[in-house]
Amino acid sequence: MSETKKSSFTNGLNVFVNKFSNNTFVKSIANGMMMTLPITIVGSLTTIIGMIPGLPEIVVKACSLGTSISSNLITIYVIIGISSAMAREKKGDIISSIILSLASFFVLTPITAFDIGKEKPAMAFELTYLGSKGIFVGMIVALVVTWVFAKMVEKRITFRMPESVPTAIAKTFEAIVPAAIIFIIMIMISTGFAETKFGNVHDFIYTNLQTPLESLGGSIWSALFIMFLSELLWFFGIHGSMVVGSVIAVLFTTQAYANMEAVAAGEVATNIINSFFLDAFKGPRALALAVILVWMSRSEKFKSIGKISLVPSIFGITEPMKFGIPMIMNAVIFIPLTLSAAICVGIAYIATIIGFLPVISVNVPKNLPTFLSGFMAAGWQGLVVQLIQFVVVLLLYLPFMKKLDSQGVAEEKANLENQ
Amino acid sequence: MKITLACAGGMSTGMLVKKMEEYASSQGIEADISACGLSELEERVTGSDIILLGPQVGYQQDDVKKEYPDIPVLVIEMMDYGMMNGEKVFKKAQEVIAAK
Repeated sequence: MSETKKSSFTNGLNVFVNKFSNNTFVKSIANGMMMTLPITIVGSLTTIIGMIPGLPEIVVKACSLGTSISSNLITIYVIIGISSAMAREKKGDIISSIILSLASFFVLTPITAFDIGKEKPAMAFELTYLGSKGIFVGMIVALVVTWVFAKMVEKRITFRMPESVPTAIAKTFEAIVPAAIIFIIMIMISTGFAETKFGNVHDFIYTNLQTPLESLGGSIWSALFIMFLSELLWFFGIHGSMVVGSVIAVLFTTQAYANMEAVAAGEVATNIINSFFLDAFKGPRALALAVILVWMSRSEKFKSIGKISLVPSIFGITEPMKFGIPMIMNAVIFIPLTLSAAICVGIAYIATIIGFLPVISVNVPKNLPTFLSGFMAAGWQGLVVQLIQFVVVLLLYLPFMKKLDSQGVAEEKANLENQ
Repeated sequence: MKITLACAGGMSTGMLVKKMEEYASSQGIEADISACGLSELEERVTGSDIILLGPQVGYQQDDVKKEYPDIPVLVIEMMDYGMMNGEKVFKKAQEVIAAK
């Protein structure tokens, strides 16, 4: 590829990636899902504690409560996260947006009457709609409601308050008209759907959108492809995992929460491919590469990059190596860079199918040290899988790094002679 | 002088901040240098003299510029970033601020 062609391609890619990841909806999904991390990680901690054998019954019950409150109500947290992220993007009122989104979601969610043997039946929302099965409706409602609400306020479809009314009060009144319009439309949608064969919006979205997307997300091939794509973007100097983050959220998270719900209910988790699994078993690639740099390269440059990178690499930080070696636009390193994450996920997948690695239902904090993260996610089997991944990645990088290293040594020698 | 660095999560720029601070204090220059993730930039950027972006989020330069038209926005050179060259990055930031 000629220089100009190359740079125009990179520019084009930059523009495309920028457009995609700065899209208000994509950005709100990524940022909003991030806000739900604390509760899912706390919920995962109770799951981990609950798995310890020989615990007294009361502790097991307490742990299961923790897990189920974080997973069975995940849609509520997702709505709050995404709605506030979107409101921030659109400079709308955050609290009003959240309240309106939640109210709209509840309007669309069927209330079921349960006969509990007393005079009146109990009216309740079924937990299924508030957990992993409701995530898509929740995402769509939070995005659309918050966006429309902000647009209406912006276009001033609202009561006009006289100048003398204090701003805080005026703001509340300004929200009434758009809120009423949105709420009434939601009621109409909900009532309309009750007349169809689906009965409600949830079952409609679940059959027509969530199930097809989940089967796409549940496939190992789409998981491998996304891993490859994320690293391919890195090859062009773009933070890949940040760009594909929202895609992963849409394709792989419902399976993760379904697993958590299963564990909370004392059942067995079944979704092998899920976002928790991908986060924990993308592989200790940074550490493997840093080890090569520090202990197996002879070039001064690579050694010093290795020294800078070694400790951060334990926490999964790769930037110094990516830009220092550099791995960006470096054809020699293309193969290990773009394939190692996919290969690691493949290894973990095979380990799960053969029954060695348990199905992952625990969200491990990102940037937890390598090996500890494997242990937290899946016990000693998780640790073993990460060790295998570590060796494989190391062997994969080694021949290519050897080549770069001897180039580096030659250059350093030439520089020394020129001085 | 306030310098704000941003990358995806504020972690690798955080490493660079330390190196820049080391250099600044060795020169006796008082500087408020901090790092954050791009999504937190809005809360952190007030009063900054310059925004430095990690090369991995360099593709967002135009948008950040549009968002903060009064603050110069610079993408850190790949090599300086990879080698965590705090001195060079700090000097470049100084230059841009001086030329403002």
